[in-house]
This record gives sequence, C-alpha cells and structure tokens, in this order.
Amino acid sequence: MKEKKLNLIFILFWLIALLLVPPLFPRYLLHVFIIAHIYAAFALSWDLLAGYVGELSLGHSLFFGLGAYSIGYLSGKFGVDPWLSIGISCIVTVVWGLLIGLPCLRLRGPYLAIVTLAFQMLFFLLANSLYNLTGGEEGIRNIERVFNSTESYYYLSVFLVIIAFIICYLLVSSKYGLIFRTIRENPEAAEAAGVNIVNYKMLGYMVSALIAGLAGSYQALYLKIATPDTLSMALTFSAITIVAIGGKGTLVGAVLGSYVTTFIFDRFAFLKDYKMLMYSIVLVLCVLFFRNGLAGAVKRVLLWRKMGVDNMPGGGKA
Amino acid sequence: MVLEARGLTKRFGGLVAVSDVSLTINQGEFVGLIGPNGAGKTTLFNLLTGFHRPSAGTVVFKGEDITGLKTSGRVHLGLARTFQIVQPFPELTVSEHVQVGLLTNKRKKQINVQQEIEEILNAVGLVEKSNDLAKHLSLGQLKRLEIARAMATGPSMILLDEPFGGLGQHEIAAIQELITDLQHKGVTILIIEHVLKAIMNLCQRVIVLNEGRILAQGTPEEIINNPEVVGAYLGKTDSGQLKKVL
Repeated sequence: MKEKKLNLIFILFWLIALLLVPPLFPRYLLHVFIIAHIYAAFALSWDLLAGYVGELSLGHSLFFGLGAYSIGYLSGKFGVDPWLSIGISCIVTVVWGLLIGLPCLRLRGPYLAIVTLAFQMLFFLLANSLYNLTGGEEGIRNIERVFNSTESYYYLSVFLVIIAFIICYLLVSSKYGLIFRTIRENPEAAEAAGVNIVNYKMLGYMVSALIAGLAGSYQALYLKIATPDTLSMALTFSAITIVAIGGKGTLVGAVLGSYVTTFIFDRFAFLKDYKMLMYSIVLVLCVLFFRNGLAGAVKRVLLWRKMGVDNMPGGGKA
Repeated sequence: MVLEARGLTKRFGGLVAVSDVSLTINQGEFVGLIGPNGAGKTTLFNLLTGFHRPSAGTVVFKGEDITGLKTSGRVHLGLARTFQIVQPFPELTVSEHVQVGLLTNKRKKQINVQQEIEEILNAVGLVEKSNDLAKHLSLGQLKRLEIARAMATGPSMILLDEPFGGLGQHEIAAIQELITDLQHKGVTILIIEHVLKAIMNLCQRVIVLNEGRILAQGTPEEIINNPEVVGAYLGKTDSGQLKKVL
C-alpha cells in the first residue's frame, strides 16, 4: 500500500511540475520535453511487456513505426482528419500486434522477440526502399498541422504520457498485474495455478502495442513527418536503455529514464552521432552495476526504514 | 470415478516414457504412485495435468474428455498439481502465490479474498511468512507453498509430486498432516513418493509403475508382498528384504 501512495504522489508532483514548465522555461525546452514524453510513453509500453509480463520485445519500434506511418498515410497522403487518423493508427497497430502475437505467444521460448524483430527489420527495409510508396528515407510528409503553438503540442504530450502511465499503472496494480508477474516469474507454475498464459500474454502485448503506436503517431503528428527512423532498431534500443537506466518493472523508471536520456542528448548534441554506442555502454553498465535503476534508487531512499531492501516488490532480479 | 486414463502413451523420440497406461481414481480416494527412478511417474503426471500431450490415449476427468485441454483449463475444472522440484514465483510474496490461485478459480465467487488467503496459509502454516518473498523461503516452506497454491485453485483432486522429497522428519510429519486434512475435506489425492514409509499408512491403494508400464496395483500390504514389485526395486530377492528397505 506504501507503493500505491508513492505512485499517487509521483503522478501529482509530476503533473504539477509539467504544468509549470511552459511559463518558467524557454520555449525551446518545450520541444525537448515533448520528445521526452513521446519516448517515455514508448518506454512505458516496452516496460509493461518486459518488466511485468516478462516478454522481451526486441523489435518494439515496429509498433511505434506502424503508428507513425499509419498517420502519415492517412493524414499526409489521403488528407484524413489528423485526430481521426490517430485513432485509426492505434487500431492498425493493435491489429498488427494481434497478427504477430497470436501465432508467437503460443510457443514457449523467445519466438515473440525474434518474430517481432524480423517484422521490424522487414518494415524498416520496405520503408527505406519502396520509394514510391513510402517516400524512402525522406518519409511521408504533409501531415496536417493541428496546433499553431508549441505549447499546445506540449500540453497534448503531457496528456498522452500521463494517460499512458495511468493505463499501465492501473493494469499492473490490478489482478492482471499479479497474473502478469506470475508469468514473468515462472510460466509453467503460472499455468499450473490456473493462469491461461497465452491469453494474458496476449493482453499485455496488445496494450503495449497500442501505447507504442500512440507514441509513434503522436511523434508523426508533432513533427509532421513519418520517417524510417521510427521503425529503426536504434529506437527499440533507446527504449530498452531508458528502461534500464530508470529501472525495469517500475513504470516510474521509464519516465525518469526518458527525461534523463533525452536531456543528456539535448545538452551534448555531439553524442547523437554515437547514439548506439552510448546506448550499448550505458545498457551494459546498468545491467552490471545499476540493476534497479533510478526508480530502485529512489525507492530505496524513500522506503528504506520501512522494509529491507530485498523485500521491495519489483526490486531485485533485473 | 473422478479421473480415468485410457491407454496413455508418451514417446520422446525413440524412448517410450509411458506405455499404454490405463488407470482409474475414485472420488475421495488416496492413491500412491511408486516405482523406481525413470519409471515414468512424473511423465504420467505431466500427461494427466496437460503439461505434455500424450502420443496416444485419453484422459477423462469428471466424465469429461480433457486430453486436448491446456493445463490451466484442467485447473479450472478442479485438477491441481504440485511439482517435484518446487516451482515458486521467486519475486512474489507468499500470499500472492495463494491469491493467484484464488483469482483463477472461476467456479467460486470471490467474497473475501484476504480471509481466504489467510485460511489457506493457516492450514499450511505459512501465515507469519505471508509478506515474505518466495525466494527467501526454505525448502520445507516452499514445499508447503506448492500445496497452498494448488489448494487455492479450489481443486477436487490434487496430484502431489514427491511432496516429502528432500525434507527432514519434522517437515515430513507436518506435510503428512496437511495432506490428511485435505483428504478429510474430500479432495481426491494421487501422490508420487519415494519415501514409501510416509505414504504406506495414508494410501488406500498403490499403483506401481515400472519402465513406463503399470506393474501392479493393490493395497499397500499387497504391494509390499508382491514379488514382481520387489524384483523391480531390488532385483531378484525376497520380500523380507524389501520390507526392511521400506
């Protein structure tokens, strides 16, 4: 119950802090915040799947990219209303999640990770090479502008990331969260306890795909362009690194990690050329020395008199 | 008759682990399943609970053919199991182990989950541990947690795979008591056990498996005196020696 309080306090402070950003900080920082929020939503979707259900999705940018390209086609090419396009993009991502998840989740082993990765690489190649259909490296432009001010885009990104956080939080703190964690901990034992693991994994995969797709379509809406970057493996790795820095299986970690990485890359722009290298190094360091991430460190400080560190739910094994 | 297996066979490549096994277990019965190492006891359990698909044969539970049903589906019908090698959820608390079983129990309306968790943990003697993570429990506690998790699913039949394995005298006595209580509540029990002493007093009937086939079945007395069983365990010898071993 202590956990619940902490999470509520976190959401409250977070929301207040976010509302104070536009009046207090230069406009240019709003852009960094918007990007951070898009990454946070994407990292949340990855954490939901990896940190709770225990399924590693190595091609997760597939869903981000599907969201981005869907809105690109709908709004950029066919002139569909952008708001309606976001809704349809989400449906498209979930349908793809269903198509990939249904055959893969029935199999035990790393099939889901491999097949998602395969589709992500396939779509990345297609997006790059089918110039007539996808615009190649230049992507799809002309997505309709919905707001005139960066502030409005900022507030919508706040809304988006908070909604994503609340969806994930409600899911993992409900009975589904407990069932997800039994699957992560020991799928065979979960099945023996009466958990239909295929159905529940599917549920987690769908929600995760939905949130990733939403993040992707919002990025396309904000930048008014859908490029192959949204389908890249580097994007998946950015989510994995963000979650590793923030703390896996905590949700809060995905948000914290996203702010930290986005602002570091903003401060030290030259690092962007070495993005993959940085991600790899940070990932290795986190796994070796910083298992519980930022969220784990914060929790340790806040809760440490109440209970032993080892007894913290969600702590320990990474 | 609660559970019936007809002609169950399981091949792993060229190896026939279970070969044409037919058995019936009656409502409320307490049946022991014994046999030398590698006799196919655990494989038979896996076939009955749906962890393996049989190469041939059918499983019928409460009159329903469940051969094609997943493990969780069988649990929902009231067929629970424990594992020989304990299978806890390491990062989950003891009470969460029980809670999962209660959540998936669809036959029962959940009125007071907290109270039911407490009742079950009380029965297995883990109430004080309810907020501890499973990874911090001892083997004896984990063995009891296995049974608690199975109990939470509201089973009418439990398959226990070596619940005494690796335990000391006191812990064995505690689990014996627990199992006896279950039986008194009307739960049908099929138990695999190497510690024959521990089950000889409990079982009404013993089935002996050897090289994947049923070698003999009968009361514990009959089994101990059966020369074929003695032969399977000790090679050719007299039953007096087996009695000493058992």
